[in-house]
Amino acid sequence: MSPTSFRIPSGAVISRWLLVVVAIAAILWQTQLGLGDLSTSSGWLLLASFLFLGLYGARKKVPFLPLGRVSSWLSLHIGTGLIAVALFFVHTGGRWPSGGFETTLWFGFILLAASGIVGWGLQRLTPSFLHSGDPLFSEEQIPREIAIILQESDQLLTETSPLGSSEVLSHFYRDRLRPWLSAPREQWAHLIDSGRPRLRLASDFSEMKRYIDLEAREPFDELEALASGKLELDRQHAWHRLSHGWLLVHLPLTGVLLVTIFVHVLVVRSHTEGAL
Amino acid sequence: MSPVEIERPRRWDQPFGDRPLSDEWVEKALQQPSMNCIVPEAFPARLPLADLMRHDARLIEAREGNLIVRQGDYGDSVFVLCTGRLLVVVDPEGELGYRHKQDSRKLSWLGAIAQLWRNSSFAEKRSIADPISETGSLTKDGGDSRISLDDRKEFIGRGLPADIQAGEMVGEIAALRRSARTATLVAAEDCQLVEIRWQGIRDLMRFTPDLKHRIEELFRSRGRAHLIEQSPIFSDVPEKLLTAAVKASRFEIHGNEAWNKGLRKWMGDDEGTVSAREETVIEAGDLLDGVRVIVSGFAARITIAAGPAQQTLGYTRPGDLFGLDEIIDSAANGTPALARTSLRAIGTLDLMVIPTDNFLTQIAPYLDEKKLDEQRISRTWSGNLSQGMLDFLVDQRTINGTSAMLIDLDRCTGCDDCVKACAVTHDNNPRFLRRGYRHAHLLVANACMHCVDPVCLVGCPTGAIHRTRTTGVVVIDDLTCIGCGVCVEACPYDSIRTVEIRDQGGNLVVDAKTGAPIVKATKCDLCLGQPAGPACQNACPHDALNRIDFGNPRSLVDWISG
Ligand code: SF4
Ligand code: SF4
Ligand code: SF4
Repeated sequence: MSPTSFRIPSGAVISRWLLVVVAIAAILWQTQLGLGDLSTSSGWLLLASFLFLGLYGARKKVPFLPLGRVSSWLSLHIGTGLIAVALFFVHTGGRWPSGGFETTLWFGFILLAASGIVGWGLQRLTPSFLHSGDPLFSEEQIPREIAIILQESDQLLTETSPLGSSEVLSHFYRDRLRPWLSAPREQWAHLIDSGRPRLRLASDFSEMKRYIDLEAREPFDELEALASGKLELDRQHAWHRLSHGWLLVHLPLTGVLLVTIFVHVLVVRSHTEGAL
Repeated sequence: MSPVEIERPRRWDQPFGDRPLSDEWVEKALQQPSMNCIVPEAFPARLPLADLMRHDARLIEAREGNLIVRQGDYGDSVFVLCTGRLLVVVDPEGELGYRHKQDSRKLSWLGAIAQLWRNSSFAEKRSIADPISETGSLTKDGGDSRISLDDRKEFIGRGLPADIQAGEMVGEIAALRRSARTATLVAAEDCQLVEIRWQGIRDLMRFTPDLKHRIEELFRSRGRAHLIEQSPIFSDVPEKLLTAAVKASRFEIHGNEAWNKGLRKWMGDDEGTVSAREETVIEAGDLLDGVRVIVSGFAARITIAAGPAQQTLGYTRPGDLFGLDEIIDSAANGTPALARTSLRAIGTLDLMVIPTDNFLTQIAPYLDEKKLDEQRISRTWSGNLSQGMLDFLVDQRTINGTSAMLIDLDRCTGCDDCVKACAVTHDNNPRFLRRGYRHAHLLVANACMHCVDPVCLVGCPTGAIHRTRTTGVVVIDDLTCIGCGVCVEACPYDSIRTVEIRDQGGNLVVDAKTGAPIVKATKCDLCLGQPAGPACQNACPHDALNRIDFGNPRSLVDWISG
């Protein structure tokens, strides 16, 4: 398993971004030369970039419109995000926030940027781990697949079935295997690629083997196959969670921050107008 | 919710024409010299000849100058000319200006955006109102092709057209080879034609071996010449010389028409097993008696012996030449022309062998070296693909795809934005699953690839699954589909599913007689009609999903290494 490819942007892409950075720097420099307020101009630029960052989510909602591929929009989103971080430090002058509102805004932004950067890294790191098994399941499919496995294994353990009539095995199933089968387990072990869950499962089944007579051998093997299918589901579930979990921070925070920034702009505007 | 009962759809619920062909025209068509070998007694009681003609054929009345079919368009019907005369025009470069392509009707931006709230909240909703009155005829995506040609006199003057006389049959190439029309047909005078769709022709041939023989003979005598004449590689060869070379040539058929049968079972076998099932047309080291032109067939594998196995170097497409360099070098050096590589047929392969002398004197001096080089490069590609990947793509017959959905698993984060995009453009019913067969980090998803040779079309009893006339995209006409599942079985790529349908209110639709759910076949339609084309490809944030045309393998190499 190799870590996912980090694609290096082409020379043309890098030079286009450099141009944007130079243009922004020129605007800010001009403002300073003209004795304008750097914090105001950087603030407006920051607001513009924030609105543009928000457009990415809207673009994703309309994949049927000829507005360029979402992958190109993601590149723009990441580039603009990095520029927004730089603008943020220019805007705040690198100062520690004061007051509750400013602190919320400050930490909200930092958290949002950090979650974006973490997300970006995770999305490049996780694919080869996520896809090392077969078949592939989407995050939404996994609970349904787990339910199917549980149902099929329950059917192998009915009272009248060859497996269900063995006391020892029924106990093992009821107390140990079934609870494990019923939901994703050992998520951390899968993320560190630990072989422990597989070993434990193998040892459980080999311990049980001696209590199985010839007639029950086939359903016993079926049960083991179901359990090992569940193991793969657990593994994929863990990687899905890691791969997409950061969005649970990034998306709500975007909404909150948009509202907060809006309020911030209104407050600053009313202060400026008041002072004038 | 309670199930809604309807009568299970059957083959002839929807005739080919706006109405069934009249008895008078059924009789007239069957009297034509090209059809008079058909006898009603040969047909079984469940498939009477008259019913077949009534429902699988339709009448076309064309005025002088009307276009009947346009070169490059897709269609799998055959025409029987009952009165009048047709001109057959072959114009590979489209110089005569009649080869304009019509875009299928696309949604406006507003219409597309409205999908966001118009989409159904339950799966597979259908209108179960009277289907016939809703659809009209099967050609609804193609519309009426009887467009008038004003400059007809101009190309008659250029001496290009051949004639089709009353009583003859035409259109057999596209029907037999599931390929695009190889020539344009224009009414030279007012004409009456009976057009028979593939489903009818298939059954007519099945119960009338004489007709099958006649149609194949037609294909042999004129079809292949058309296919050669339209190949861009020969576009600079003077017409007369090309015709003379074609006349002197030999035609060969190799491979297996039913190549898809059993393919699923042995997909994934090792390379030895797979290539052993392919017919060796030429073995490396064989003495070549001429240049082979690939006339039709979705691909042939080019290999070279590597130890005990055959190493795949690339594959051919129709119009490609095989053995060209060997023949030219041998003429220059005075040595025998021995094949440097082997050629193996995948599916059916039609070849034309232009004898060495004819090739060297009549064709070679006019070939454009640049075009030949392009072909050499694109057909034997090493690029950044591993040998294993190339073997995989050829073994799995993925190279049949003109729009294969490939997912790079090293980039895919499993976000399913592609599936969601497909759902949003299809009334909340995704038309593919992010599953398929894989090699290393490449997943070939079970989404319709819109094949060069769409074998799914062959057995459909109603013609519901068909290629759109202008774009060649393989689509299923939902109202004509009877849910028999023949296409599902025939597609070797698991790209078609049958789904249980619901009415507008979300009630399951069931057969009034048996109570069994009514099902319909569904698959990817390449987002036909959406303003931006394949939504899945547009939606992927990581450029992990791409639709690849294996006629242009460079695009795959560039994307994989991009
Ligand atoms: S349904 Fe299957 S055979 Fe038909 S075009 Fe699509 S992939 Fe090819
Ligand atoms: S091209 Fe359109 S219909 Fe086909 S899989 Fe992609 S989104 Fe679905
Ligand atoms: S949209 Fe792209 S990254 Fe997401 S699941 Fe589909 S192919 Fe993978």
